[in-house]
Amino acid sequence: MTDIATPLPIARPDRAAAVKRFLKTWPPGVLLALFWIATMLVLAIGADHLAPYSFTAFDLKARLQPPIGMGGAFNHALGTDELGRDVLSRLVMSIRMSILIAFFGTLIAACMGTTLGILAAHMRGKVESVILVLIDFQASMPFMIIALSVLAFFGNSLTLFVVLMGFHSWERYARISRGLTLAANEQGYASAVRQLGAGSGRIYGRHVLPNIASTLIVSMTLTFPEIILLESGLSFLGLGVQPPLTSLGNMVGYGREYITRAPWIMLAPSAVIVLTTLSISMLGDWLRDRLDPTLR
Amino acid sequence: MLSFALSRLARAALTITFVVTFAFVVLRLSGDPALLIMSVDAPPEAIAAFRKSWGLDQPIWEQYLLYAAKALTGDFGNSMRDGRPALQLVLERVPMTLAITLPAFLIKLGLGIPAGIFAALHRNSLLDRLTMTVSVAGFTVPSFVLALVLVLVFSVQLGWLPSSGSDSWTSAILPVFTLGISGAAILARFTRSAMLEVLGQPYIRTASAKGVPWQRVIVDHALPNAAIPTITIVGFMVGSLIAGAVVVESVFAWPGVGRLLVSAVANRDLAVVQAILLAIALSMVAANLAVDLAYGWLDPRLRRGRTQQ
Amino acid sequence: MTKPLLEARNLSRHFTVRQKGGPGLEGLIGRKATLRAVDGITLTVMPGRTLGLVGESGCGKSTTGRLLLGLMAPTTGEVRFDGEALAKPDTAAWRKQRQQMQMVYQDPLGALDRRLTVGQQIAEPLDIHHPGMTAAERQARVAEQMAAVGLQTHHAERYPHELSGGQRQRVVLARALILQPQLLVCDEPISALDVSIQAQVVNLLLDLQEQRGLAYVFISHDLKVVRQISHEVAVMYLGRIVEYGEAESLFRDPQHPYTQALLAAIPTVARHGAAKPTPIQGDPPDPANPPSGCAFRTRCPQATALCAGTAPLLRNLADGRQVACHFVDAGADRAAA
Repeated sequence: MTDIATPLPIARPDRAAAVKRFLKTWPPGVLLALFWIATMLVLAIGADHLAPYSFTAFDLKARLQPPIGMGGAFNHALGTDELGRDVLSRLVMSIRMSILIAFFGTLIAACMGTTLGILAAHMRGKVESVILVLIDFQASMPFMIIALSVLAFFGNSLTLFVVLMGFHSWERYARISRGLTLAANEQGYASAVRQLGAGSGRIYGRHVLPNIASTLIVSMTLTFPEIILLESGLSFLGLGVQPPLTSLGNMVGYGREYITRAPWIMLAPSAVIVLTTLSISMLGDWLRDRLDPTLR
Repeated sequence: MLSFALSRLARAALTITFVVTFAFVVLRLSGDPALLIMSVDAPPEAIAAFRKSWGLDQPIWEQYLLYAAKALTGDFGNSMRDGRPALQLVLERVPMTLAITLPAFLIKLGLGIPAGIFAALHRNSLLDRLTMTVSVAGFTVPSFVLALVLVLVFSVQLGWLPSSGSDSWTSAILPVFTLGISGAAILARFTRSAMLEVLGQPYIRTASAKGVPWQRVIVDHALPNAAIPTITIVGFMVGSLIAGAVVVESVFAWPGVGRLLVSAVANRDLAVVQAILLAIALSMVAANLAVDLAYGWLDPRLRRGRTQQ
Repeated sequence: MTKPLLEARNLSRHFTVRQKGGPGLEGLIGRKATLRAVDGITLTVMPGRTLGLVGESGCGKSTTGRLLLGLMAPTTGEVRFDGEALAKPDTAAWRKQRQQMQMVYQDPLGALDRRLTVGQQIAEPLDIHHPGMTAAERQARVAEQMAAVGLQTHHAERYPHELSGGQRQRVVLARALILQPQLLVCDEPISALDVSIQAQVVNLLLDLQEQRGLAYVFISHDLKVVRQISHEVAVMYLGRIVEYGEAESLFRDPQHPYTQALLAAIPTVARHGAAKPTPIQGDPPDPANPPSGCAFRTRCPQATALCAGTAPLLRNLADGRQVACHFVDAGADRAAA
């Protein structure tokens, strides 16, 4: 009887360990989130080319057609709405609109807030007091109310709306940048460089801003989904993005009427809103843990 | 403590002043107040009378003082659509809003805080992960989506609850739950992180090293310290009792302040908008003040005041 | 007689603070009080010599250091560097003056930007003041300075957190010295370092002084180190100088009760039968509310009613020492304040 020597399994410890390490630095949830965000960005940028139909084109013979999973056809993969407009095409255009608004809003809030925060820390005295009062005021009122009031007084144009979104949570950036700049100025690297003879431009441009950038970027990943939610809410109420333009909130608003007969009209944009805000929040949490675990 | 209370009161007064100024400036910037507040086809005598009573022909300083005086006495003009005084309209709706926000608030506290504490105490357990997943859903799912999904399930598919209106008490169930669940999720997440931060502090370890039973460590040391930051969020929620239901009321056609605000904005009924803005500001400021005073009472570092700069 | 490099005359810096507590409405809002951080200081620093500035925490020595460099403007008095008055902070003239005088900090990690390499930061003064320099010249200068402070060239690519405490302080020194200043103000430069490294850095400072003829103002609460490095010493208490003199003789024969108590408090190996030192009684008083008359009287074992009534002025003693005490050599001349 021959002893069949059982060959040892070809151990590939390196491979397994490498995969494990990869998953540790890039948890699967974060990978999924990144994938979703990338998809959204591709759709947003290529909206004009990727949408199968024009988002305003209506086809009254094909009204309220269900999506693929519920008995629909391929030509309208996500179904049609009450005017026969293709839900997928409208969805893609809405994604672009909502992402653009959130992007510019976040940018405006970050720039404005950071500038005011640094100004407050640099000038101190009366200027700082005024800025602190403004920060207090913004933080003490729910922004939805402020937004609604402004929309009531000034009416609604897209530019105004985007600028309005830019006022959401600017105070967060102001607080952060003021705090970090004060610390840098008091005993830190900023006062050391000033003492070397550097002018303000150099101190803030070459030293302070790069140092506070990572904290600000993490805040931006918080603000971005919040603006998406805010804009969707306002558009849902009919006070945000106005037709013929379409946004995610808009679509949910329209879909509301047909919730009994054609729930897919509102479910598709809702799902996109939830998944997008979820992805960006996860990314933000992960970034924050990576960049500075002491930031809680 | 007294100096602390006074300084907080001063701050509250400053915020109210700011809101009044904000409303005044925004109103002036957006056009002729007389034409904006009174509808376009009001008779010229009415417009002239409005101008007079609001002092629109006076220098801007006097206009501001007159406006502030009127605002503080509750006179914002009449609603364009309704013809009745704006403040009266708003106050009528407040009880309806409170009817859904107060029970929702109780749900937020009763569900959110225990869930957060529990998740913190059993960190990384299955229950903790479950709670956190649900709570993440709470703040990534916008309230109108949650509302519509609940309507889809409970009104359309199951037919148990009405989807809108305010006919019977059952109509309130879905709005209350929508508000309550999303708020509870946010509060759970926040309470959990506050508790985790406190539990990581050296004095907790010292207390349990002294031999204090774990329950007492939690109740005597951890909870009171974790309460301090949690109170801020709770305070904000209290302040939003009137303001927080804007979207939910619209989805469920619930006749409260939020719904009034939305229709006033859509119709540009500025008198009503101003009245609501100030009423909300007042409630937020009052809630913030209560929170600050609670802080001062709870946190001995603030109670004693600072004697050295 | 060589000209003094740095002269401070009657330098004062007052801060207004609000003090809570006290009767009535005033107590609620806070009474305005004046904190005299620095109160009428006159100092001279000669070229190539070290002036040690000692005192407890809160006595005003750090503020004095800042005033001497012109990093903040004094409330009264003036500072002259090489005969010229210091320019106002943050003006172009002030920035130019930075090339002559620099500061070395207590916390080297805080004084460095964590995102830039050490080499870039040492080169930074060159970028600021000599933008026309070529990259090659810049590199050469940086290498030169790094060698002078005992760093190796490969350290230039490191980031501040990758270096040890002692190395970081050397980086700060290299950066301070690259423009060839004449004066360095060192504010507790070694307090944050391990004791063995402290000795290295002190020796480095002494070597640099010998090689380059640098003048130092050495601020510290560590008397042993001050004794080692200083030529002259000024002892501060609550914003005023209470004793001033040549370092060695001051340490051997302190005249002011405060200096005596400070020196006696240094732990030494106990000698049997030696007289126990008189401890300093009590806590330091609130600088915004100093005692009347002599500020030290509340903790002085020799205090009398005279001390409460009149503040003593700095008097010249025979050997060039200056002391501010009523009981020291009553027959000495009054020093020109």
